[in-house]
Amino acid sequence: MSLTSKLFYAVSALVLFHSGFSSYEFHHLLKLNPPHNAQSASVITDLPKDIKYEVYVGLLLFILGVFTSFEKLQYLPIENNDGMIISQGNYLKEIALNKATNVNNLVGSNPNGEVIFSPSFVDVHAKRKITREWASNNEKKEK
Amino acid sequence: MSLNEESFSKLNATVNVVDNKKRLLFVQDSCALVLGLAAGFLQIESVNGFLWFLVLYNVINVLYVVWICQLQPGKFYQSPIQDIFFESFFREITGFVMAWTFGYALIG
Repeated sequence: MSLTSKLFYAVSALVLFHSGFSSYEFHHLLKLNPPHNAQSASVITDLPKDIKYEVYVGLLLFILGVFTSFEKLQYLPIENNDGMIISQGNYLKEIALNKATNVNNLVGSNPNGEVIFSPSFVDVHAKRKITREWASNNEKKEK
Repeated sequence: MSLNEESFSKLNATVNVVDNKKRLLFVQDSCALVLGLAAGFLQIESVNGFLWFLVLYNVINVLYVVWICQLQPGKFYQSPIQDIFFESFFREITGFVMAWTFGYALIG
């Protein structure tokens, strides 16, 4: 959730609370002094405009808060990570399977990893070579 | 396009379908509750309250299609009209009525 969204939520909560309290006060006063004679036809019995507008603004801010809580989806690649973040510019995930797997491909996540990376399929010699190189480099550094 | 490719292109990723529906439900749930509260604060009564809900609920859904789906709801929902406008309608209207009566009783 972005900071903008949080701000919208906070302000809308305050505005809605205030408008609710104003509305409560207005109706409370109306109950204390009920308009029951002919002269009171001019007395306001409808909710004042400023309270109405406050409710509308509170509602609008809340809706904006909900919508700004959506952020464009971003992915961090697993390999060759130069701090580059991938984004397709969507707020939601695509449902078509041939599009949904694009994200896995871009990120470098292998959906068949469970099988491919199981010990029987791993190239042990290549791994040993990498480890030997790493170990010899470290030894050099220590010396 | 061969028959296999064609049938593959029609497959959907279930995880993404469920995820998108959850996000839509969050928007509709929270907005329905706040719409109800606002209706209570304004002391709206009888059919006007339902009209208030119908109009604003649809405005929010249209806004969702335009803003979040970027006018391509078909990319994110299996049957966009059904999923966005109708599927959770009764769920939201009951939530709205609950918040409406709560707000109404609190103020009145």
